[in-house]
Amino acid sequence: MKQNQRYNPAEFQRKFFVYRLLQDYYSGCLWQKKDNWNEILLTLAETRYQEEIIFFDLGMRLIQKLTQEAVYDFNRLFVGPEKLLAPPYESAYRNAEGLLMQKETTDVRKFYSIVGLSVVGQNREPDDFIGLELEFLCFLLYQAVSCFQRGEERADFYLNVYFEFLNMHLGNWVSDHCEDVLRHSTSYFCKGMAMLTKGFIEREKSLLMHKEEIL
Amino acid sequence: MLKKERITRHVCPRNCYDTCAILAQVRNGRIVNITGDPAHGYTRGKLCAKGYSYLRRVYSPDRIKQPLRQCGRGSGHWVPVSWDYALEMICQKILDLKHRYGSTLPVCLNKYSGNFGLLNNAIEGLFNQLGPTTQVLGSPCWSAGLDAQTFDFGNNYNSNPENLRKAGLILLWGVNPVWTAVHSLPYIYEAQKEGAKVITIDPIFSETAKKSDLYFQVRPGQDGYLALALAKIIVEAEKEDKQFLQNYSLGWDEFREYLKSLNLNKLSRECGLNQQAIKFLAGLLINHSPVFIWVGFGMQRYANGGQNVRAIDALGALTGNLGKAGGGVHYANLRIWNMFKFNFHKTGYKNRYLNINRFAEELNQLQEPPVKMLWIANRNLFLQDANLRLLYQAIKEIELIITIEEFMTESTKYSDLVLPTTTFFEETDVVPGYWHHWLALNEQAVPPLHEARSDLDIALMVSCKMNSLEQGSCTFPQSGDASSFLDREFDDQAYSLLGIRHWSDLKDSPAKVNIPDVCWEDRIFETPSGKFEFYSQRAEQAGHPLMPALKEQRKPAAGKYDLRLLSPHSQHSINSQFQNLDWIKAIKPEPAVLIHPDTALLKSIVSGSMVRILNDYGEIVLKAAVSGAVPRDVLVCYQGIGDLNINRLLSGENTDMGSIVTGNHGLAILDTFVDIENQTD
Repeated sequence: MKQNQRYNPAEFQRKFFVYRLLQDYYSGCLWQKKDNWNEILLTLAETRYQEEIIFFDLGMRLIQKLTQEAVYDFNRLFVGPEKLLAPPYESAYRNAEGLLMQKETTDVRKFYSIVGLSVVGQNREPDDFIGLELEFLCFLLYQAVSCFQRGEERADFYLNVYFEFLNMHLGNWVSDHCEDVLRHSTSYFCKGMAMLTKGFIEREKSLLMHKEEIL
Repeated sequence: MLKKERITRHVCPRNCYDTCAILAQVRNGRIVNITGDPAHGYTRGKLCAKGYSYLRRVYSPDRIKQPLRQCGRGSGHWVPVSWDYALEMICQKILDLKHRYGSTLPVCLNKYSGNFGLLNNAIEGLFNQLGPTTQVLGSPCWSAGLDAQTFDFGNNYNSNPENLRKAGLILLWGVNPVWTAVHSLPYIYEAQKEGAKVITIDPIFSETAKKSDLYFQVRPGQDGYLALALAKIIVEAEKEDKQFLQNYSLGWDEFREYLKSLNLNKLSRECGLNQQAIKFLAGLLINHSPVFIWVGFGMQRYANGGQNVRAIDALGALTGNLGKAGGGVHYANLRIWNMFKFNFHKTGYKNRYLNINRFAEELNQLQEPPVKMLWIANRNLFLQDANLRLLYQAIKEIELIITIEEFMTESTKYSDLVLPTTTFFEETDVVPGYWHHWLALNEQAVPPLHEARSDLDIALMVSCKMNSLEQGSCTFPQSGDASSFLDREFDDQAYSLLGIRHWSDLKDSPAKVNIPDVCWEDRIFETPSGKFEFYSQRAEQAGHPLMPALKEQRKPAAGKYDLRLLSPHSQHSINSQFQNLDWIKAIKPEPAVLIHPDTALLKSIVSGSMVRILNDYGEIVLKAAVSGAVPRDVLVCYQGIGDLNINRLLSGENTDMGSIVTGNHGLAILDTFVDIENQTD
């Protein structure tokens, strides 16, 4: 493995931070971190990339306050009990009939199994829940970096799976999902998080072209 | 990945004639396809549109996935909570009320027929083990007819409806099987092919009427007048079955005298059919045999509904059609349900029962103690109840409303806590039919999705939590599963009727229950006299006339609300069920009220006009569709269309009968009077 000039440990730390933040957000635990929100915002501000896309910046401005209205809005968008305004599942966007647990879900499951992972509560919780897809990407990136630091060849493998998954799955539907949020959301916060998600994932996807140089 | 594939057996648990058997194709723990089960002898491998949409109910992203608490009833501000939090909230409330009022009576259950699986009754079982609770009793649906047949025959049995194929004449009386019991059609067509005449009697020129040989438009709720007119003509022609009447009936002489006293002109005027038409129909009844009369539920949803059914029973009896293969008067069959003892349901407590059809009124009046917690199960109370304005009033004093649901409904909207429940593909249960003679199993095909729990599991979890908070506060079991509960429900008698050794044998095939294929074939009735009773002391004891009577119909108040609103079942939903499912929404026609051309002209309404239908109880706004299919003084608005809540217009008046079998009189849904106004200008 060739040592690359571009490898920047701090940048990867920031990516892990954003991935975890988005995971927490979609799995509904972000609200528990309300008291640390300002701290989180500060850390997030540092993750600004040089070639920053406008969406991330705008998103940052909108999520300054974590309000109770945002919690209700979040539940209306992603949780229920009413018809979900922005279902947080890949199959809801990509299955021709909008059904969960179909081929789209098992395709994601196959990806997880490549690295020996499976979802706790398989067939109960859809594998293509956005929170799980984010967690998977974060895992892959972390593995890639860890292997790289240990000088293991397997880093390339993880990085390949990372970009393949981004390209074939999350990166393929997350924009539509975030557009739905922007269309239906009634809170600055959820709109902001949608922009941030969209901006972040799109940037990650754009790195595909330079994937050879990343590590 | 190795593909593991299996086929699991299922049965639709909706409140429907057909109770269809279903097969699910399960691949690696997911259902990938749903079809009808060809092993079911009645539904024979086919489903209706609703049945084919079930995959959506399992895998829709819109399912309720976890317990949710609403912060401010009706606010739409929901937060997910853990099961433990939800159980704690429920049980603390029950205990708090028990200590405040010295009794569990402030805890109320309103449950009805959303799921007809045996174990879907578990919540009722739970309530029966909490102490004396407040519960609803009765049925909005079929009570009057059940009592009527109980007075006449002594019980509610039907022949295996496959016998339709043996009929010489089929009277589809107030029933629309083309929409609501589609699996009976092959049998009806088979009879037709063999030369049987198919006749529909209905106020609405229904889809079934269109496919029949003859259609008679009876005035709504005046079916009894038609039945008695037919009886009178047949007896005057001396074409009654004297042998049957002499040997197997009670009160024939009195009934014959009664028929003599009736005036044919009046009967004809009241039922809305001219004498020539009635005589023609009587001729068909005389000249064709056997006559299979299918009595629908619609005609008994009036203040004189029970009497209508009794008059039709009498017509079937005097023409000698009872106990004949291909003949008889068929309403419903309780034999299969009666196989079960509902052991988990029993209570040693003295519950306080409210009339399910006067729920809002009675809830409002309750004191000592008032109801403070309401649990809604297997029901969309806020859409399907009557007198809704009063109901919204009544719930203001209630501290906690809980609903178990699969999807958002009008009732979850007004709940404080919503508990997610399984579809029948995620639980084990059996579902008896009330029309055909089959029993089928729901195998658990897949694990419960998300955090959904079956009714039984919820009952077990509540019992556990109650006992952990206060030992002995609930005697419902705290452990067990569907299998152990079913083991206790199936006894040797049930197994012998089903011809199986264990209920799990139903995984191989649904079972036809070994009950008489032709009901009352031995002419031994279950009435006190053992005979068919034209003249019923039991009816009199229950406060009704001895014989089928011409009871004055409920009429609109003079000069106001002079149109009758009929709200029969639509093709694509069962009451409000499926109303909120997007797949069904996609194929449903736009909601519209059907109005006769003359009435429309008078009110300056054309097809497509937006109209307001109103009375003292509420109003709805929708499009009009001018149609010759409905009578002049009638509007028709099908149940479960669009997002409309037709029940807003219901007064909550009750039917004449129902308390014998269901505990309370039924709901006179079709005695609803309204005005219509054009909104377009």
